[in-house]
Amino acid sequence: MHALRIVEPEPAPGPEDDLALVRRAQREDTAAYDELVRRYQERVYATVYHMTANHEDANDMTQEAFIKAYRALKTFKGDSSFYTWVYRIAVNKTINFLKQRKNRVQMSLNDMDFNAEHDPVLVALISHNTPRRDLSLAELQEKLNAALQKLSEDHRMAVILHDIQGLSHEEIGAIMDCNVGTVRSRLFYARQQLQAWLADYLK
Amino acid sequence: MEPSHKQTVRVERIIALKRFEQPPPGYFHLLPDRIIRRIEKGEGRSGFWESWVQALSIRPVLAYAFGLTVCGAVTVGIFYSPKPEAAAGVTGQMPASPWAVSPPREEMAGESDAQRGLHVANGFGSTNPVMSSETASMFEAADERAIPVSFFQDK
Repeated sequence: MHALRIVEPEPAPGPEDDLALVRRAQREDTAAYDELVRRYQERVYATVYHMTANHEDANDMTQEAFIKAYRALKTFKGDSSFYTWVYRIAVNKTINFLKQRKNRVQMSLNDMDFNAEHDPVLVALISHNTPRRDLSLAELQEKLNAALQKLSEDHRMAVILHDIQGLSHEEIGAIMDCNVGTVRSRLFYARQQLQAWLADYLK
Repeated sequence: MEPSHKQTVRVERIIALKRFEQPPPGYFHLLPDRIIRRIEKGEGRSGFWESWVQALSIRPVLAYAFGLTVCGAVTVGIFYSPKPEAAAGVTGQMPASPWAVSPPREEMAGESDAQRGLHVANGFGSTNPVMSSETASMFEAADERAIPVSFFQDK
């Protein structure tokens, strides 16, 4: 008779694991860095994508941010978490890129996940909370993207990191190199602007 | 719920729409390999100055601090540098220059044109070095011979 073996679930990757991987990557262990990329690629990509509103640009920026982070890994002391540090690199790179790209606004608006159409919150929002009952999801997305692109880079970044990525004010402050008060005021101002621009869809 | 708070919640919900935007399927399976391949190829490797600039771009505060330090050093350097009057000396003479005004011709009587240099006028209002002193004397002699002819005979 076999004894029952209780299998302990594997602990979720925490900051300690990240640090161990970073130490290995600092000794030029690319397998360790590959693991770090896999952990944070989606978040970094999403942030850059929402800032640039273009998949190709987001792809380039994400790759370059991770390559830059690898080359600068020797300077990483572990004062902040690895993901805050990578985010900071990606954010600065994206803001610099957007300043150069000022006159070339592109948007790819057909990347909406199919699941969005079945999300009850969104369906309710569109069918009940807007005066335009015939408004399609794609139309609302288009208006939202246009409104987001009207915000300054710093305000847009604050909204993306908080309302889309779900980061705390403190984390955003560490990433954007500013204090929590500045983050709050940027969020407040950005939401006020978005409310004004999307007023028709909020009644 | 207050109307303004309601509005904020609705804005947040609309912004949440962005969470559903996804890259092409399978994109995240390929991305790490692309990044590692580029790293192994040596992309992004940089020299001392580039890595210094990179470090500054990661922390903009450091960049500002560095910029301020450089500006401060330049300002202090300008403030403590010797003044132009002091450098020229107490006599107030300007430093020697090839364009400086030459001394009067009388003072240079004993010197040849070659000694005087190209900038010295040669008495004919020309600085042309081809006009040597010998040529000049020939002109002077010619002046002596050029006696005006008179068609009226003196009685």
